[in-house]
Amino acid sequence: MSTILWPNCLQKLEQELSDQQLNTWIRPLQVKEEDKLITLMAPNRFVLDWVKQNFQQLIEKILCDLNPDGEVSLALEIGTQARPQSATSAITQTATPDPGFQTRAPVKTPSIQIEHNLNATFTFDSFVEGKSNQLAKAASFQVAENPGSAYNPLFMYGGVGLGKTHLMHAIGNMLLKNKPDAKVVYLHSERFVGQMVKALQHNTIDAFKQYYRSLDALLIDDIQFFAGKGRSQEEFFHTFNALLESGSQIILTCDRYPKEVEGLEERLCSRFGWGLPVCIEAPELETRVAILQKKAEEAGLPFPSEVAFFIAKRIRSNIRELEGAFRRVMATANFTGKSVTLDFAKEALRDLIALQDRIVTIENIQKTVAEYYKIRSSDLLSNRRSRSITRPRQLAMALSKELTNHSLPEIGEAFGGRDHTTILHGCRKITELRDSDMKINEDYKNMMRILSN
Amino acid sequence: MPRFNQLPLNFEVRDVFTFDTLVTGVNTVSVGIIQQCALAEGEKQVYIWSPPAGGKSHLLQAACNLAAKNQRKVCYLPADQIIHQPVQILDGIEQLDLVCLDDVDQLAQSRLWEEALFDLINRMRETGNSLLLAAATSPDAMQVQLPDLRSRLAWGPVFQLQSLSDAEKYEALRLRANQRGLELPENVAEYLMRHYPRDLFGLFERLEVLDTASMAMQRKLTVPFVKSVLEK
Repeated sequence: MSTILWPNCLQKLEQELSDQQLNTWIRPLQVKEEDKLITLMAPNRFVLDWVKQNFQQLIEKILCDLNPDGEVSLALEIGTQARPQSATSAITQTATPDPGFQTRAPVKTPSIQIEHNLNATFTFDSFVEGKSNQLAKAASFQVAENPGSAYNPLFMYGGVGLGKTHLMHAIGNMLLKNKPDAKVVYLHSERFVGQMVKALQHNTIDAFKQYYRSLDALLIDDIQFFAGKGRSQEEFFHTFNALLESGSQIILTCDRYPKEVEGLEERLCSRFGWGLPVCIEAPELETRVAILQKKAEEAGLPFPSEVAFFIAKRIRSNIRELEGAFRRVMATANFTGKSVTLDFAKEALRDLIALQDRIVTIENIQKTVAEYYKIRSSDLLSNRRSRSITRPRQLAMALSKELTNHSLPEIGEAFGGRDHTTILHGCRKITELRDSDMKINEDYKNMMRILSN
Repeated sequence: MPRFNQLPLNFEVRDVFTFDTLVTGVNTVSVGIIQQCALAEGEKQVYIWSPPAGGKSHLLQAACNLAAKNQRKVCYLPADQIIHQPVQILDGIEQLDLVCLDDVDQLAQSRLWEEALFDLINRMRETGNSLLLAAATSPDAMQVQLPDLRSRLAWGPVFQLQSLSDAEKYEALRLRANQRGLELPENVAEYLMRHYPRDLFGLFERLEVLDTASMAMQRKLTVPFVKSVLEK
């Protein structure tokens, strides 16, 4: 296959379209050029329709201009060309029974491309063990050492972001390390469903079945997404049985115990319980600290333990959010060129920790200021002009201007129908006083803190 | 040749939205990290949030423009437009160098879209390409049905875009007027800031109205003219 016309056509398109149009719609297309037929392959139906509707005419015109003597046809279709082999191990030999996979039956699939989809960084070494995940790690290690025998299927369940996927990849990576030509496939249940739907649409369901039933190990993540998808459950049920019968290893994860997943067929639930269901719980403080330190170590960056404790104490929900907070501190340090200290981390995570997503309203400001000065909210709206009322009122006006987007007339209206010039005067007065009166400055900062947190 | 703004679906990235036309104010760090992300440096997934009209779309489109300028394949998807499409619109986009998804919280209303977004984040993670997400709330506060999605939204750094100070809004208004070739006298800018809501989006919208009116009527921007146009 050679591409001669297309590069020239692309050059012309660069002159006609914006960078954004080119990069969004044209460059992602894959191109096949054979004789006088140029086939553009779009990743999905939407892109295909868009390109057809908006660019096909232009492309045809350019191709025609480039090749005035001959006939050039343009075809647009959904599809992709064969992908590079990087994440793919091509299994070309006939699979033979393998001592590692106990009763593996010979499979007559001489040339199947296996995409294992494993993330090489998820290994047992990079997994931080604690009380909450000890059992799951031990069981996973056992399975990786003796696939197809102990614990089949291995069913790991627990809340989101607790390390189930990491352990799953670790098993897959170890299986491949011990036996590089093992046919190991990791995929998310959504992907399994998506592939099956495509196979049904393209009438390739037999190839789909053959592919999955020829594996040495099938690792499916988040099987709760099978819930309510009857046809996928049916297909998975048969794949599951075929794999178990042939001694292949099955590893599944779910966010809860199988019987608790609504919309999952009873026969599947019961089969999932055949092997070993192990629970992963939320990591305790020490494990969260160790996880943060491990991440810093992997990134090769110094990360004081007091910072790790600070973050770990505040982010308790799951490891993914813990990682998010860690990445935010590190990205900020990297960008500003500062080193990570406790104060730095507190500042970097200020809004995250303080949950500033509360919307500040003028009413809220008035209430906070009134409480702070032990006066009534209605005093702020009144015409009283004693110092004990006017200062808090002006502070509340200044805070309203600072913390909300309301116009000055709107703020004036919210303060008992005052004119916008009164608000402006109040704001200026507070700016002046903050420079000359420490008490006012302190009060202002305190209230800012209260309202922002 | 078809123009983007004539298309039934408008995923147009406006050329004027660049980092040069962005006043960062207190958001220097988050904007810098997004800029790095657009250039495939640093973080692979960044989530920003602020109440509506906080400048998120400008930032995302600036990232798109910067990435496109650097020959990266990009895609800007505003949720309010894609939500009317089948979820398959997200198929294969993980192959692009940068995907910017705006108003993610609007997708969170639908289970189907939540699953599609969840799957997209997983795929982006696998390909290692960059993903920028923007929403009106933090992942914690978002009304999502899928806890799996919520934790994935917070996988990378999450930043709240802080509101600009009045001085910074002045600067942003001045920059925007300059860009449009519009002379914005200081007293007019002050008038706009003092008499109308001071959110950036609203200020820019008003400036656009004034620009159109000043062109149509061949008038310079003065306070009486602004009053007559905006208070019609």
